[in-house]
Amino acid sequence: MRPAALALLVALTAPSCIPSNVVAREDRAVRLADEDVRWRPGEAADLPGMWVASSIDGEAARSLLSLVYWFGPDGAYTGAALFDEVPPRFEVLSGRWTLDEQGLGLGEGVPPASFEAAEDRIRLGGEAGTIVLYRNPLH
Amino acid sequence: MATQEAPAPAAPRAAKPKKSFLAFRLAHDEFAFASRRAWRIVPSLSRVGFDATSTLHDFSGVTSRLHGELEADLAHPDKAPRGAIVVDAKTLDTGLEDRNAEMYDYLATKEHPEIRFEVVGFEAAKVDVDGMKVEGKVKGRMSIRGVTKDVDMPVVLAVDSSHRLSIEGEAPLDITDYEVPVPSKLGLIGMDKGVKVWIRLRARLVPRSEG
Repeated sequence: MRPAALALLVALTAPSCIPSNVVAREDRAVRLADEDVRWRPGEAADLPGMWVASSIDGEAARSLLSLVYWFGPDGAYTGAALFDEVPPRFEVLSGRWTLDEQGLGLGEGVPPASFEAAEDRIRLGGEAGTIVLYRNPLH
Repeated sequence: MATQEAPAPAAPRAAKPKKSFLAFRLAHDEFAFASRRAWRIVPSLSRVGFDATSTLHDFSGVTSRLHGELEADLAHPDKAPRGAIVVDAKTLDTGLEDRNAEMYDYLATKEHPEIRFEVVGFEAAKVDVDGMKVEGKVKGRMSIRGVTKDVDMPVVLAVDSSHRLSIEGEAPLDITDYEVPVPSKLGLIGMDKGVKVWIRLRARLVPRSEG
């Protein structure tokens, strides 16, 4: 076969090896990284460390842009919330955390939060929404 | 002599208790569907793309590298909506590097790095204030490769419990209207000049300035 004919054959047949990759209508939306996570009830040993929000849902998402928490192994914690205001504003608080059958306690007068864990993230929930936080690799 | 009594001081309005979330007190939520508000697109939760057909295999090009804002009264979306969506053309990804490089040439992304859609109007078909959902046709000006054309896109807008606005829509588009060459190999294997452009956007309510 002459080289030109061979080149033409390759040019024509090569694309046929490529499968169609049209995005299905139901897959067009961004798929969130937390959708397939298998959550388990959180334990006290899961909590110590620094955590940064990756998603916030529910009413809380209306006013919060982000949240960061640090939980110490001795029961101390501190958190910083970034409120979606003009301009955005950080609010910082500190306290003691407890974990019992009611959930994660973050101080007197604060309703306990639901607490679940997965390999590298935790999920906290309350009346006003749910937040997924990733372990900060710097801590 | 008549005396004028000083008006009784207005009773202080009872402060609405703030909701708590993980020990933080949340701000009051003043969103009303029937009010003119601005929404900022969240790129990490948004995607735009196109579906193309060709002689041998069909494909899509997608990207989340985009930004934009929309402003409208969702209960009256026909009343002077405004906004724009700007897409980084050189981040459209078809899944094949060679095809991407070729596409960027066809789109002339060096000279025209952005694909832009400017909202100029809205034709509402259905407004569900209670369900916070709107269906209709967004009317806009699409700019690709430096050429701007009118485009109507049927869309569905919905506000979720987080008060994020989702926008879904699609519309046919002829790439030759924008002077984009139709890709073809040896005149035998070619791409259809008609593509389907689609959007899946999520936008966050822009807080009102205190001023």
